[in-house]
Amino acid sequence: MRRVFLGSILLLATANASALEGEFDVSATLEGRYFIDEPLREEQDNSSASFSLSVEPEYYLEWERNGLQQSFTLAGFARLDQTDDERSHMDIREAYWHQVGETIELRVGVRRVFWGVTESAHLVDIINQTDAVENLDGEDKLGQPMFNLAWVTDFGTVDFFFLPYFRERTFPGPKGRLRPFLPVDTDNPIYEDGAKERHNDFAVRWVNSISGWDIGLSYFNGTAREPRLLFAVDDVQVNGSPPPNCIQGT
Amino acid sequence: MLNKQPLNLIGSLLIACTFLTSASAWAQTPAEKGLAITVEADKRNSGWGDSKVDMEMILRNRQGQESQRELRSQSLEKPDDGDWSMIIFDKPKDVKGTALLTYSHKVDPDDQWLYLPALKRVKRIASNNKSGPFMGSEFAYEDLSSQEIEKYKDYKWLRDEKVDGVDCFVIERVPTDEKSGYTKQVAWIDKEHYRVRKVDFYDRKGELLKTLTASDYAVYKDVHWRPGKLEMVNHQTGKSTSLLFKNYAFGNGFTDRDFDQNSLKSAR
Repeated sequence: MRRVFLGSILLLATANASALEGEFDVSATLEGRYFIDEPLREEQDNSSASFSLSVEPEYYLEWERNGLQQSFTLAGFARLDQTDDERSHMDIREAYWHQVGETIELRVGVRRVFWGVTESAHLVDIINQTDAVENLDGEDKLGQPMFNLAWVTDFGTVDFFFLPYFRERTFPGPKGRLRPFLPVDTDNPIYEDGAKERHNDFAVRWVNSISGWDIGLSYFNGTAREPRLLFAVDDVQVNGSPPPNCIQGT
Repeated sequence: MLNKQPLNLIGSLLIACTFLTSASAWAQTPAEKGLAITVEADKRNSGWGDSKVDMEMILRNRQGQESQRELRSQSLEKPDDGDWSMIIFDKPKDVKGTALLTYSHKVDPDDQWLYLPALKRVKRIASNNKSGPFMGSEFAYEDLSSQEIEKYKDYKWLRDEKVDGVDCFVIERVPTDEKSGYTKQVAWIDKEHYRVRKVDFYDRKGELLKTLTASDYAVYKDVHWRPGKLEMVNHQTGKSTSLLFKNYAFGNGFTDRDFDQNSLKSAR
């Protein structure tokens, strides 16, 4: 059901693109993976070469209203993988409205937000969930629904985030090659909080640049994006399930 | 022996004084003249407020193969410090939305941030990377900051010389920033309007690295001279980069808010 829904939204954007005179872009990537060794587990796909096709449509429209610059950004993502059903997936990376004021910037919708600098391990980058089926480096992120208010002051920018929905991390399926030794059961996540994926998360981040230093301080209250994997014996098969736990801290 | 020393000192001071007085009375020293030319050039290139311009960047390798990029730049004059600027790439697609924000400073090292839209990330250009190439071009990050008097020291007028038939002062200057990729610059500044015509850049080994040529100058609002073309040639690699400017516009009403990290991230 969800896939059909996503597909129709993207189609709508394509149709509207010319009517509203926004910018529309599509990029498609064909990816090939070649494995020299045999898979470790017998349920994994045995072919040494595997191909997948990804498509990323993007739409952008900006306008001015009451002297304020407003815009709408839409970025979709879809991958069709030859072997792994879990890696064949769709996502709305971005779909948000943005308004720029003199001291306040508002963003409402699905976004990807990066916290930190261009370091190799992103310790503070915890707004978006990792789209782990995409790559091993964890750089690909799932779109996160949010209400974001940025307050621009002389002492830096303070970003307030209200995150009403939690995205579960994606994991390769049993047939996938680049996967943990035990397959992850993505259908039965265990949440610490009873609200499950509907837990209301909050985050605040202050960033400023002072004489050659970029400083950031952040606070996050909600469901951790990093799941803790538990071992579970399920009939004869051995499964793990990702139970995201609640964290609170700065 | 000991008694003689103060006398010697006074004597040499006197000689020095006489020399200095006569020098300033009759002619400037090369150092004074070099600085005076720079001060005049700086004075003439002030009061423009803000500006924006469309640019075309043409990268050429040693074999003469070209690749092309389209970008825009907007600048805000900061009379008390270095100017602020934002350079935004429009084409080709793979670099679209990439933007460089520069806060030039007169004395302190410049602040520069590069926004990478594919990664949604702002990368600060570390001061020891200022000499690195900007987006694969022959322009270094430090070449893109505003020219301020305090950015150089040891100004020296060398000679007068013509560039493309235009009478120029030739001055030498040394970057004050120790992290600069250059040990020396030689600049040709025309006598009529004090516009930079040519700059030779010398690398850390003291060898000629690059030459910048500015041409096709046009005047805006009767006083602001801007080049239509900048050409940077790297003598050591044989590569070159041209920047072609069009649609200069002044008085756009830019504020500090147009030059902050939020606008850097949403530049497109």
